[in-house]
Amino acid sequence: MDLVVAAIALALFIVSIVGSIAGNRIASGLYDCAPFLARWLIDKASVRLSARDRQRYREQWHADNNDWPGGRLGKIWHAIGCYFSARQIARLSNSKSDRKMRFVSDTFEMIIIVRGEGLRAWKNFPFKFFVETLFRTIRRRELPRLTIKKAQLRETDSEPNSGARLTFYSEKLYFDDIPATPGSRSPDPPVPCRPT
Amino acid sequence: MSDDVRLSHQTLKALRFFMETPREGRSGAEISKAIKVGSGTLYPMLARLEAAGWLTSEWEVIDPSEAGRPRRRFYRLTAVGQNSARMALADLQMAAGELAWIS
Repeated sequence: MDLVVAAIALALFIVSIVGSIAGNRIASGLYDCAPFLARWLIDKASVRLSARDRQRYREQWHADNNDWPGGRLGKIWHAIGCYFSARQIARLSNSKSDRKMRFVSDTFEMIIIVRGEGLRAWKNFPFKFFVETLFRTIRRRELPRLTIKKAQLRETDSEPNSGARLTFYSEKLYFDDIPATPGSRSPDPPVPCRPT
Repeated sequence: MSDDVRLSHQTLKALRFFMETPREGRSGAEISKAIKVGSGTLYPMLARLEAAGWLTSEWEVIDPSEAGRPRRRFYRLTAVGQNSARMALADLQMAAGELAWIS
């Protein structure tokens, strides 16, 4: 019996030593990569913002992170705070941008405006695919009643081979809710327009 | 416009901090250090004050590539913000005075 107790005690002793060494390694590893982790969190946080605010807050938060007190852990806390504040800022930004329009969807959609000749696809995706992606999240029966009034700029890209330029309007789409009149012909499908 | 601003304890602390040097721009890190508020509370509060027209913000005038660091964003009280902050802080002092007198 004594032998069993001694064996258990020895095993616990060894496990505690190994655990403390591993814990110490993990903690020091986390401490070493804290600046990278903070930068990564801030980049992730800025993605949650609207395209209009993204670049501004990203730069501002990186600058503040450099000056933030509390050492490496303080910087991590700052970055975590940025991540959680991004949603509130995005909500505020949306509500002030245009209160009269009905916000329909913030999932992954795209409107593509192509400038230039000779471009039929982008990154192996035909344009038809993008257009279908754009309207995927909106219920089909709603589609004829909606006209896109405003979209936020997401990114601009260019195709070096053809010289054509693509502009993606995406992420937040606002629609006018046009009441359907019975018996009337469905209007044309939504037409992309430039942001106001 | 100013009705949109929720005057929480932290907001009043921030306004008091801005009122110490109303013309001087303050970065988020400075404000946080002074009023001891975390970034999760600070940035939405600054965004609300900015949206309400109480604060204005501008970039630090440096070239980031030369300085080797990103530009800071400095917040400053607007004229509207100064008036509103003065009134809010005066109300608070008055309320505190009444409370002291009642007790």
